[in-house]
Amino acid sequence: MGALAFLDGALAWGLVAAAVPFVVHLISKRRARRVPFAALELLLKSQRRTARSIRLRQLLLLLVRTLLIAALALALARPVLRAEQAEGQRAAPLVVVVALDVSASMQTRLDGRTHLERARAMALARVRAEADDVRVGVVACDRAPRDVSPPSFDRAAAIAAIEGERGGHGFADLVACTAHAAALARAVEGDGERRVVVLSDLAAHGVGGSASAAEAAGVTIEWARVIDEEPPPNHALLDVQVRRTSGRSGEALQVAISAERWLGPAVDVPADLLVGGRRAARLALPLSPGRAIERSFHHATGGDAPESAPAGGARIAVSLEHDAFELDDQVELPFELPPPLKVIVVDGAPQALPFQDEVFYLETALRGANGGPSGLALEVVGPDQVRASTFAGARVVVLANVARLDDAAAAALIEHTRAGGGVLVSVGDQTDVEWANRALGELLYAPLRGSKGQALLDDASVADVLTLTRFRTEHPVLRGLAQGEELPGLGRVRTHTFMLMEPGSTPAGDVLVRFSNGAPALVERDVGDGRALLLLTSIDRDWSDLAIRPGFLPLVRQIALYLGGALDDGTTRLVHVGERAMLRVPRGVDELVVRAPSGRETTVRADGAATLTFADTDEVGIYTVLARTEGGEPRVLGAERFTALLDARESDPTPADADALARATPTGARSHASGGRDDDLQLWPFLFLAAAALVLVEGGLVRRSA
Amino acid sequence: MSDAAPAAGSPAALLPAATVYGIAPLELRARVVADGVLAGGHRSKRFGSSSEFAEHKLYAPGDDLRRLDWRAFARLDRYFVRRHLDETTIEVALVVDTSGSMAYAGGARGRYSTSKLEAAKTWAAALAWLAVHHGDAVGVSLFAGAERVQLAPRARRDQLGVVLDALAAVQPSGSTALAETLEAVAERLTRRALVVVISDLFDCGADEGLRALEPLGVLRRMGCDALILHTLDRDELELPFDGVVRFEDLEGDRVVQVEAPLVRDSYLEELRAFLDTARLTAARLDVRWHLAPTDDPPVRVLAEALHGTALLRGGR
Repeated sequence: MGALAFLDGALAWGLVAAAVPFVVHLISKRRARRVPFAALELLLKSQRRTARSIRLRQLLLLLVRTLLIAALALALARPVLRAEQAEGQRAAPLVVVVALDVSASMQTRLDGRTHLERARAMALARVRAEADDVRVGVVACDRAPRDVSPPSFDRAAAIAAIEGERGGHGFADLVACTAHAAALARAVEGDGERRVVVLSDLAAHGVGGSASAAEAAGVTIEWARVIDEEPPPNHALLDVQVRRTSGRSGEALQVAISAERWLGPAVDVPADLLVGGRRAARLALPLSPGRAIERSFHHATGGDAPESAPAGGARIAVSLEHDAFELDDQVELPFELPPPLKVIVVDGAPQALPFQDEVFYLETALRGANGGPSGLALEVVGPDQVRASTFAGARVVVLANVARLDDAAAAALIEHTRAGGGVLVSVGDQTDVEWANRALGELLYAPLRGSKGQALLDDASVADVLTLTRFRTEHPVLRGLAQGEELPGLGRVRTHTFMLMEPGSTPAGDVLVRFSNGAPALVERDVGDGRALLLLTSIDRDWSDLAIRPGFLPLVRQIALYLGGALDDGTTRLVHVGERAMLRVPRGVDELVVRAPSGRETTVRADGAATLTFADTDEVGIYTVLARTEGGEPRVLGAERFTALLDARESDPTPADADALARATPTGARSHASGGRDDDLQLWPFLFLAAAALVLVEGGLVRRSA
Repeated sequence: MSDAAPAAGSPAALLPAATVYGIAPLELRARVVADGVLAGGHRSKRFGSSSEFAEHKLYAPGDDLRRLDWRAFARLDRYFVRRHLDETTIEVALVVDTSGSMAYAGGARGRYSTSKLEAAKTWAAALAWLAVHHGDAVGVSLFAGAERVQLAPRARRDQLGVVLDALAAVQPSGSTALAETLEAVAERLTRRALVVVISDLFDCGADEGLRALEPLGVLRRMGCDALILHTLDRDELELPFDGVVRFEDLEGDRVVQVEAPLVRDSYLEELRAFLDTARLTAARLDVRWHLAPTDDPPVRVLAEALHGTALLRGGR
């Protein structure tokens, strides 16, 4: 005979309501209505005649009503008759350790209850059903196993621990958790069976790991699935990337999403792009099980921040139609469009005909299509107009084929760069090598020697024209332009003249691109807090056809953003729950405060470091980072905000099969699977039937009485 | 009668116009031919001097020569005297139960109606009006534990007012002493009469076959006609109470607390037995018995009660 247990033990208190009919009976007897009546003699006779049968019927009615309420209360508490245990398990065990899965997938909601709520109810029923002389412990299977209640006779502690588990957003390795629980059970001294009850959705992703090598002889693992039916199909957003692009109407956002579906038939799932809380676009994703798909939203921003932007930046969200597991159906991202980046272009060779102007192509590329907003505030000046004050407020300065500047302006330019600004120097026929080496030497990768045309090259093995090659594709400037090791938009650039570096000099910086003859084409040098890029050919068509190649526009835009320190702005910063997030620490900041989506704040001391690692990414959602200085008010670091995504493994609801459970069982341990449908006798349907029958009996008795 | 509405509680209020007009087309007739002396609308068993021919009779010495039918003598050569039906008036004795049980006016499910006594007063007043209207003598006897008011039947025009005053003044109280009252009424009647008993017949010895009605048998043997208007409230006929009810006796200290729905069936059985006893007793005594629920229209009650005897004849 199995043990009786309640899946919703708290509702068993409803049994108290069974006393209601009796109380009502007593009250109604005391509060009889008084009626002066004439035919009392007839009443007395009828009462004498029927007193016994009435009393019997009343008692029967009282009994039926009491049973009816008791049956309903019991049925709501969902009693089950636990299956008879296997041979050898009938005796009370020495210890029972309940391993409660609190991973993200336990937030799946079916019929109004989450898996975790079911697991808690089953755990409570299990704890209450154990005899008083059995030790009970509780382990929470979270990102790492947590001992929430060590094995003891203290039922209240175990129950409080179970009721206190609210579940997390992380991935739980049930194999590790089970091994941990088994070790906990084995640590109890004494003789007798040691039992581990794993309450989980038992999805395959949780038991995919190999079993622990730790010995677990004498331990019985009971794999208890919290739902009887098949798990519901699930779809999830696996990744969302937001980047700034230029569209026909100007600035735009490209939101690339990746989604997948598990179980069930192929369906079209609506996906919404929400900007500032409002739906901006919708896609239908044709999702079929086992195949991830990628799609993109394009949302024109008109160069302005999205509407309804809250303080600290706007929020962009992508939302799939909600299913039973909602945690992976929506990803919310922080997004902030920075103010326009001020770029000063010094045109060293202005021409009357626009297309012959040194900066015609550069200016066209940076101004954006149709002269629309591009996120860059461009100002073109001649070398004569440049003063020391010209660079005030500028983030990027471009010297295009500039012969020379006055000394004060050159010094201001270097200071501007040291302070964190960016400089792009392109050479040409106007370039005064001597002046450049002297005045701008600190910005240059190496001293310039002079220009050299291909015709002057004495190496016969080199073709007539030079191409660009040996790209540093991982460099931010070239990121996104590369396909493998090649840059399709730049690979066929033909250059016939370039600037030579002084041989024998010690370069200070990196070469990002080289000419096909091995000479540097694009080099970078860090200057103080700023950076300087040097293009060793002309930026117009005089020495090279770079300016008319498809890769020119994204290249110069990325260079401008990179030099302005804005290349990373407006792009997505994503981590998965449990992963570490790298945080940049601004100068002078003592500590960072990371505010989790739930509002929980964690303070991380900087101690002079330029970057910090934040590991407590245990919630799905947007994390806000605040910088705090000694005695100052905390300020939000908009660029440091990041989003934690659900671990995609938790989205896969495919149930584990018996083999997987057997493999997940610790070495030496016995195991068996249990579940309401297979092993436990569900008593509540019978109770509901009994209640229905009692309603009929009660109705019959009342009708007979009436 | 005045068109103005009578004041509530006044004697006239006992006799609503609707009731009077409803009954007015009816003629009150005694079931038996009363032997009165006053000319009226009732047929007498005696042959008298009315204009309505009854039969011829061979002359015998002593017969009134004024009634000799000379035309018959001329045709048949034998002496016949004409005999005519005599027209007499009757005495109507109204015996009204005013005991405490007659105060019941319903109340189950919040539905209150006219009390049994009020209904009895209305019916008695209507009958008195009818009697006076037809020149009959009318008297009333109001009883409870003992006879409280007794007015001997008189045919005077002002008798109606006297009867109505007596009816209006009486209030329900005390127990029931029907037998004694009927015996007293029988003693007072000097000639044949119509005795109308209006009562709920509770506490009249139902277990002993309603022995309290036995004096009606005496009255029948005296040649009187008798009618029992057995008045009951709808609650008493159906016991429509819900829940637990504490019933308190209107004529004593008895109390019964029951769950009304549970005793309803057996109560109705007892009631049926009680009504059967009343009907059978009335039949044994050769007395008319009519069950008169208080919520039935008075006109219908009186019309049906009097119709059964063929005493009423429509139109005038």
